[in-house]
Amino acid sequence: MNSSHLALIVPILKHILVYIYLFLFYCASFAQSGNCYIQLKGRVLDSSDQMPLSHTSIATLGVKTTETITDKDGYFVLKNLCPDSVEFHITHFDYDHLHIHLVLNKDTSIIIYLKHSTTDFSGIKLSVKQEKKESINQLNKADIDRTKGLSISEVMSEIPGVSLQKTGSTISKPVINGLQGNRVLIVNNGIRQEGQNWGAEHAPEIDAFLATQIRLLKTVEALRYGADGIAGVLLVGPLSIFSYKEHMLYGEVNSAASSNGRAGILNAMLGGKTNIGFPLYWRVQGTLKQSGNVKTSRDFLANTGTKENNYSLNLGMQQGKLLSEVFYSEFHTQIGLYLGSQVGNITDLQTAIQSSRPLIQSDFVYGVNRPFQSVVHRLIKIKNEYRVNARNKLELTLSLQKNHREEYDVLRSATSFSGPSFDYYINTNMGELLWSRNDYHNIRFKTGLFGLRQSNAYSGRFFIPGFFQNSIAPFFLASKNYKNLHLEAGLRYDVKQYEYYLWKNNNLNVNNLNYKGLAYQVNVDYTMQHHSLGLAVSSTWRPPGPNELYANGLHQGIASFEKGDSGLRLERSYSQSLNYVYSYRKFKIESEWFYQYINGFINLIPSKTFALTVRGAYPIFVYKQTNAELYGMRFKTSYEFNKHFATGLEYNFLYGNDLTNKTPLQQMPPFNGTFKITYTRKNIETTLRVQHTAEQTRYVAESDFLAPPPAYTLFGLDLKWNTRINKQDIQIALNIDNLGNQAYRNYLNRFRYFTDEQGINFRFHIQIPINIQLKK
Amino acid sequence: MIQTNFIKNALLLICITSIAITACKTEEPKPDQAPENENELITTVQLEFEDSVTQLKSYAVFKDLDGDGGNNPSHFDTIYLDSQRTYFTRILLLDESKTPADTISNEVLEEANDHLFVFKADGLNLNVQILDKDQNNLPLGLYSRWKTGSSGMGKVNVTLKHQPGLKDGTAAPGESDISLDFETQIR
Repeated sequence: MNSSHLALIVPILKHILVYIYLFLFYCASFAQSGNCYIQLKGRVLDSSDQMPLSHTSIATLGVKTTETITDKDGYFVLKNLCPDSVEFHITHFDYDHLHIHLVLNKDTSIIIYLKHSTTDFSGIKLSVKQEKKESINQLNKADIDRTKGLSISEVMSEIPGVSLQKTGSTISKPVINGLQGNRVLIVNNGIRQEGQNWGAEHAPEIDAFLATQIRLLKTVEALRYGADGIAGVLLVGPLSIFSYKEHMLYGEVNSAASSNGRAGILNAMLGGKTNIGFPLYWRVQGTLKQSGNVKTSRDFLANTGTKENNYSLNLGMQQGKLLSEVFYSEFHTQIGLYLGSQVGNITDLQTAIQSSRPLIQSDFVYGVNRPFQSVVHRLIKIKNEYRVNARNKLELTLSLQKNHREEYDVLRSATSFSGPSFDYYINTNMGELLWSRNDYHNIRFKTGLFGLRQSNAYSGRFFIPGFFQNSIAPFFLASKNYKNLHLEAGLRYDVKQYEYYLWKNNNLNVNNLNYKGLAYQVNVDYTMQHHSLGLAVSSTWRPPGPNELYANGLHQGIASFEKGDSGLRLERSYSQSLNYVYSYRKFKIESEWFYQYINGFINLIPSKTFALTVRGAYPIFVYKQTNAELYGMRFKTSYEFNKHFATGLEYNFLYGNDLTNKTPLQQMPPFNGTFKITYTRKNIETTLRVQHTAEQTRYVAESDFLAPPPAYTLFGLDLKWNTRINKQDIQIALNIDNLGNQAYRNYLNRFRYFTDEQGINFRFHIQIPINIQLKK
Repeated sequence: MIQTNFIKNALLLICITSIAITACKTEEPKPDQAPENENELITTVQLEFEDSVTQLKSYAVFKDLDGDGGNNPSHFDTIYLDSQRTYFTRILLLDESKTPADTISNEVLEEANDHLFVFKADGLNLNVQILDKDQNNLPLGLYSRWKTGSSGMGKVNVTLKHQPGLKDGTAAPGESDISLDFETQIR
């Protein structure tokens, strides 16, 4: 007698965490009684795409433990179960664990849907739900779409609390909560980005089209990449190629143009999964970009064109429990610097400051001439992941980065020579061995060893010396869910050794510097139905950078003389933050308050003395250590009135103090906020943006040639149209920045002495996603 | 079978990528080798004053052999001139960081259309007139006439402006390659 029952087990939901869900039904067949002959058959599927999940462990808990693993199609069978109320524990590496109770009295079949892990502190993998949970730390699709065609730093600055340190209109670097340079750690594709990070005018060498996921990493996972991310860790990267399915071609073509600078951008990406005896995952991608002279509200800026061409290749293989991946990318760029910024001395700078219009007149042209930068960045990454079983995973990641930066100053004489004024070669080898275990007394942990060897050499004009760096760092990260609590803790111990090569009149002086120290982070999150409260405490540190130790030269763009101090100690930060999220239906508030104390904060301050050169006397700025504090708040809220109207507001403010000298910290971003209102009708989305930046009133007058610029409010308009032409999805967007064509200057732009910011800019963008079903 | 195939392919992949990496190797400097520097410096500025009557020569020199930063300038002479005299002044610019030293003033002369010397006397009874001209008949300043008045103490600023494509005979455009305040005494 066969009878089928269908049951929906919902109450379980309440016993597990809110973001796990289970949809389960079972069919019962033979009624059995007494002895242990019951068989449980089933299949485990991904809850979002119904794909079978192999390597899932299904175990009974209790006196007698039985365990089995799902096969490649997600099937499993457990035999000889006793008729009883049995508790099962279902575990998969990338998915949330599940405990279920079944009352067994006959042979049973079930389908189990597992939810992709959201509490996982792994870097880039995030479910939609997680995205909603902490949108303050990462960009949603609308933000990414709106910034297509802009530089990676400009895209990053869409995250509240991330601002831009600019050098003219062509170079920008991310600043997190007011901290910049070596304190910002960028992790590109799982690898620490290693260029000449110390330089304020050295932008990150990353193709923005490849970085489709951008996140300010707040979990303890940040410690996996380094202890030196005192400002924070920005994680960027593409989607994993291992998400590709067979008989499909995935890709995207982007074409963009903008009116200001008359930029043209072309980008294409194609990937898929091919079976050549084993599954081979692949992706190729490339970007071409060119733009000419940028225009302020009234004037073209001489020599502000850029050129960029990038490509990358990604291959992955899966063989049983082994996942192997090779990634190679090349980034080439030529960046023009505004010609009027190369001032010879302070008199020239004062002349430039006093003129409200650019001293050098220009028309629109494309070419890039001196002064300019030319940078090539290459990355190769080889990663092997071995899934020992459903609970244990081993990963080995090796990488090499080669960065070559050339800087071409304006020459005094056209005949003198044609090479760069100086160039740097920085090569970095890195390795990481990682063991992850997802279920040890309900604790997930990752432990590993990180190693780095770096060489930095230069030719031409001296600014920083060449060096070798060797580092090694063991780390341990753990997380646990307990009822509504989510706990995380991380520890990392770094040993860093530097060998600096200082040449003076052909005599070599080798300086050996060693640093070691512990970094830690603890996060506690408490989640209720509509509220979530989190507390994070951490301490990180970084050694002084090469410029802070040994700089001894002129910064032409800012007419100042920079002097390092070889006696600097390491810089240590202690930070606390509290975050609160409220979410009810279409209303949402996210906020974060933070306080950071930095012991030995390395700060560039005026020495009130002058360096005499053939071009006159320059004020000397020296690197000094002080104690500093930074505190502030990041806030984001959104509300959907109905299916047509939605609105959002975000702002952040920040205070920085030099506690030793009792002065405000310099170069802190002033208060800024953005208000958005979006109207959606059919396939067209229209957004009006209003962005306000206040005047920075906290600064030290004598440490700058010019007081911070006044406050400004900018308007922007975005139109996005999703359509289908011949069964092909197409997204067409028009974005207008600085709608009022306002003349304004930005405190964090080093060229604010010389020019206004960009005037009105119309950006046009077509995105064609490719999803082709191939014949089987 | 599949296993060996896999290993073979994996090896092939590693080979290809390592070729790709090594193929782009160029001649790179090493941190522990002395860095090359082809940049030109103006290490030395020499003013030669020839008395129009006695034809006696006197000199005032600024010298900073290691360029900006590093050691302080080794010479920064005071200009001594007699009152009520006329001097013919020649400027010599050298890069003495190289052997043999480079005569930068010859390059300035070759690119006279892009260069201009500017002289400014402060607190002195002194009149400076540029005597040489570029191809566009605009002043250059490597050769000038200095007429002194009554005695006194003050400063003379000597500036060399680099004005590629911008030269109009005035001091405003371009960037300063030299800007030196010579202490000056007229006796």
